[in-house]
Amino acid sequence: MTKSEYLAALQQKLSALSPADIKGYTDYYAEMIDDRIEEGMTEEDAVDAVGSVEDAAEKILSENPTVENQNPNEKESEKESSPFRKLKAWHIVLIILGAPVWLPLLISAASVVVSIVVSAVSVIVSMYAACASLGAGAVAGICMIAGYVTAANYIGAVFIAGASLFCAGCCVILFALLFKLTKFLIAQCKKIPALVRTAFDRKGEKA
Amino acid sequence: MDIQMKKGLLDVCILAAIKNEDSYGYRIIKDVKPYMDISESTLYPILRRLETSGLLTVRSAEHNGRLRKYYSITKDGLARIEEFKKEWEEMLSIYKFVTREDFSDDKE
Repeated sequence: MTKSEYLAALQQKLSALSPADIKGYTDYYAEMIDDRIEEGMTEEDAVDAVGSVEDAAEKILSENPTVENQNPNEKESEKESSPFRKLKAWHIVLIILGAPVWLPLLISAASVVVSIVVSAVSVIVSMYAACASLGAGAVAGICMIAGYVTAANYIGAVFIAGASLFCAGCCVILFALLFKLTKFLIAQCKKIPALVRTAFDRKGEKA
Repeated sequence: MDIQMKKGLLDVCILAAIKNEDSYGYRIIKDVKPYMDISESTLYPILRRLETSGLLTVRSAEHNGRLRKYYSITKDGLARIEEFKKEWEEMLSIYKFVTREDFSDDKE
């Protein structure tokens, strides 16, 4: 079999493929035969070495979806994607129709979250204020000692000194506790977006 | 050998054949043949697949008065070879585990 006979036979066997594919394959086999001839083979040996037309065509067709094979593939992909699209459309309709129900719920949930955050912040702020007032009391008490001493009321001076020390101690302890509490709350607040995200992810998985 | 594994190995072998310099169909077959069973009809679909997935590029150049297609590896193709090396390092450690000799069951 000569090279041109081989290529003509191959072309005929591949007629189910697109013209561009047929040209690609025949060019490729022509190159293979030419390279063998160039290496010193006779044309006939080179054609034989490349393999029979039947084998080549069979392998090529099994690798390539032919025109007939392509259509069912497309249909399958449509089938795969169409229920998904319908589902999505259905979801959108549900979301729109459900707006009167979920919108107020969403707003109330958001306001609950906001009010919790605001009240937590206000509690912390008021506790800081208490801490500050304890500190101020301690300072004021120390100032008052001078007054008691000039009035020669030494017992009163000692009492005030003790009271202001107590205030100062309370202030330090409260401040330390508050500082830890604020840190903890800030850390928790940072987690909220992630928590919300995972909650929505789970819903998505279930759907 | 498993068909899927063979397919993957052939891909990498072909990429390896063009790794150092551009090559053409017949030479790729000659280079790969000592290691894996490859024929004209198996090579071309793989070359096309590797081209569409961007692991190699094709250009036609004149050679002795005719056109010959030369294949050159891309960055992604080189990355695929590196990926293969890593995969096989893992495989090798699994192989060592599977073939280790101190199975307690064997001694009994």
